[in-house]
Amino acid sequence: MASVSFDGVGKVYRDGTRAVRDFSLEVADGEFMVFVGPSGCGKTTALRMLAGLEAITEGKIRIGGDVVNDLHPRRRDIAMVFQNYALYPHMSVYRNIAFALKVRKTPPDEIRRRVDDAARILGLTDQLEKKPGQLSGGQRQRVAMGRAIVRAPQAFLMDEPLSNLDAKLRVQMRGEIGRIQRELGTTTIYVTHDQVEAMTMGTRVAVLRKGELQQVEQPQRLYDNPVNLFVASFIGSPEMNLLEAAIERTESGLTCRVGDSVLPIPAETAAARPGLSRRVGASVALGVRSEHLQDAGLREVRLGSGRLRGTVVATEPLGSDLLAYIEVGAAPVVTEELLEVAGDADRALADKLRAEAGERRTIVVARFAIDSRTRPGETIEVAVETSKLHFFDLETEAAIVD
Amino acid sequence: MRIVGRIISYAVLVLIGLIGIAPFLYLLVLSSKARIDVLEVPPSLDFNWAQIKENYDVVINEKHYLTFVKNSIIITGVSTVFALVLGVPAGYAFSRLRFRGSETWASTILSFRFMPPVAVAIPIFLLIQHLGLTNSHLGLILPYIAFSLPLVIWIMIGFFDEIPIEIDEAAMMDGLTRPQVLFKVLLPLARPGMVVSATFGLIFIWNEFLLGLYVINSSEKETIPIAAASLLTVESPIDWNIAAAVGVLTVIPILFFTIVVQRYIVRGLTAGAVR
Repeated sequence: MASVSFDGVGKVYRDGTRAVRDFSLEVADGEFMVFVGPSGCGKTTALRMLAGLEAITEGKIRIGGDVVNDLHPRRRDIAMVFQNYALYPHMSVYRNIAFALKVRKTPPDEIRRRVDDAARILGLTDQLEKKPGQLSGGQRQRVAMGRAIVRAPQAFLMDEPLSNLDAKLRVQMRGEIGRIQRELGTTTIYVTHDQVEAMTMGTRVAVLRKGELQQVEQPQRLYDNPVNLFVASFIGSPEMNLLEAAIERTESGLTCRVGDSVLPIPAETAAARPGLSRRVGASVALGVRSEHLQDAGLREVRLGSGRLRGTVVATEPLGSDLLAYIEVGAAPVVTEELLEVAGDADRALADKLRAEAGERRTIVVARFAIDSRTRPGETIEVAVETSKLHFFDLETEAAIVD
Repeated sequence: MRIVGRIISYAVLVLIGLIGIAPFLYLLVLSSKARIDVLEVPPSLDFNWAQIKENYDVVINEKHYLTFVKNSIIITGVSTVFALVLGVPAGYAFSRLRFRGSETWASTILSFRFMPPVAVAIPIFLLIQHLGLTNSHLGLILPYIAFSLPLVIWIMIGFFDEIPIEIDEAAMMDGLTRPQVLFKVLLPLARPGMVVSATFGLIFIWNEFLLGLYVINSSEKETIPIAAASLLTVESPIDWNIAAAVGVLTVIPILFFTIVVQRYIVRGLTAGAVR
């Protein structure tokens, strides 16, 4: 096991496309690091450069302190789990798992012992004589894992290993990969486009966009303190609500005007973010997570004093709580970044966002308590937890933190 | 309804099969006849063992036919093996490595095969003559390798392209060098491709006539097609029963080979070799 470090790493393909720019990151020994981002953000390229499957254009990559830029993949002593598993179709499960050990001339009884150990950890003991073609998707995934863990390498690299599994199996394997990683304590770098995987699995999460590292943080901190609009909208489901708001100063302190509603900014927030008072009279992007909005009509609303008025357009009871889609009279924040994220998911959504930008109405998603009786068509008051508001500069798209 | 459909499709298949196999059956029957009986229409099916023995005895002992079979097997075998030894790694390189002009090279190589052998037979003959290789097996083996290579390379490119590149990458991370990846992991997977390309090369070389005619000029070095032709033309009038026996003996080795590898050929031609 070893630490991994990226030092100003860049990748330019032969046709001139830049995939990764000035990527610097330290992954501690034993850490579970997740690279997350939309497709084409450079996460896989970064991983492949570490694996040695892609040449490094700029910068240095170190494994355990040694620069590995010019080392052949087989000399880097790292194991990789591929998205399509890349099992050897003509070999039995046993030979698939044992292959790397055999290549390294490990003594046969040692091979047998280690393969049996790996098979036990992964619950593959009964499948060892089968060929990959006879296995289910989940079992193949386990074999791919087995091939990695049997080697006890310096680091595990995983490139979207769960994306070919169905939803239920994915949740199960998510937990299992986490458990195995904790048991073995092997440094792991895990690439995914799924922010839920990133949040649930990583010790730390690195968010990438267009080849550039945006933020590296523990999942909760990433969720609570996104450094820019991209991270704010990428992390979290439902997405963070973003509205255009004007900062104003009143006798009682700073407020932000959202359409025809006015939200007070708590004194502590204003004190911690002097940037806000410098923007009095200017517009900012206001971010609110859905769980910080509550039906003000409920008896026990413990949320702060801010109120937004809006019309409910749709509700989705989830059993535990109720998602309410509420149209409020404020301009949405539509940046190129957001369009990209939306366009990634679906083109129609991106077009809708663009059309809405001209109008002064935005649909926000609120996570209400399930006993909220709100119905589509109603006009309601929404309580806002003002201490949990996020502010971003509309120009730079960076969070206003100081 | 389904049964009727089945019967019809089997009937059609049997008909196609009969059309395919009929000439060969006719050949087989002819090779058992006395010279005078070959003109009988339809041929009678009462076989005379002594006559069969005599016909084949003439071909094998009097005409030294086994020498030609041996020559053909040596030349075809050696050429095909070398075409594979050179063509398989080349196919791998074209499939996996992106080097300067790799695509241009690949299509250039294929275009070599577009030329009919007639067009290049004379230049090749002159080349062989300058090398002093006329009337030797090597004089045929070298051009035959050159003829087979484009086909081998292209078929192998197709087969290697079918194998996900992640298999190579996984094998490299498991500790193999590139050549080891090819020989230890990919070759077993690409075996149907090798059989298919070997078969195509083999059949071409086995039947090749023109170049053989130019390069070989002594009867003990002749391959089957040349020998068969000279057996028939030198003698007059033609002994059709003997000619038929020659035909049967020519087909048998290649038929035997095809039966042995047909499992791979079917798998290879229908592609989707891995998965």
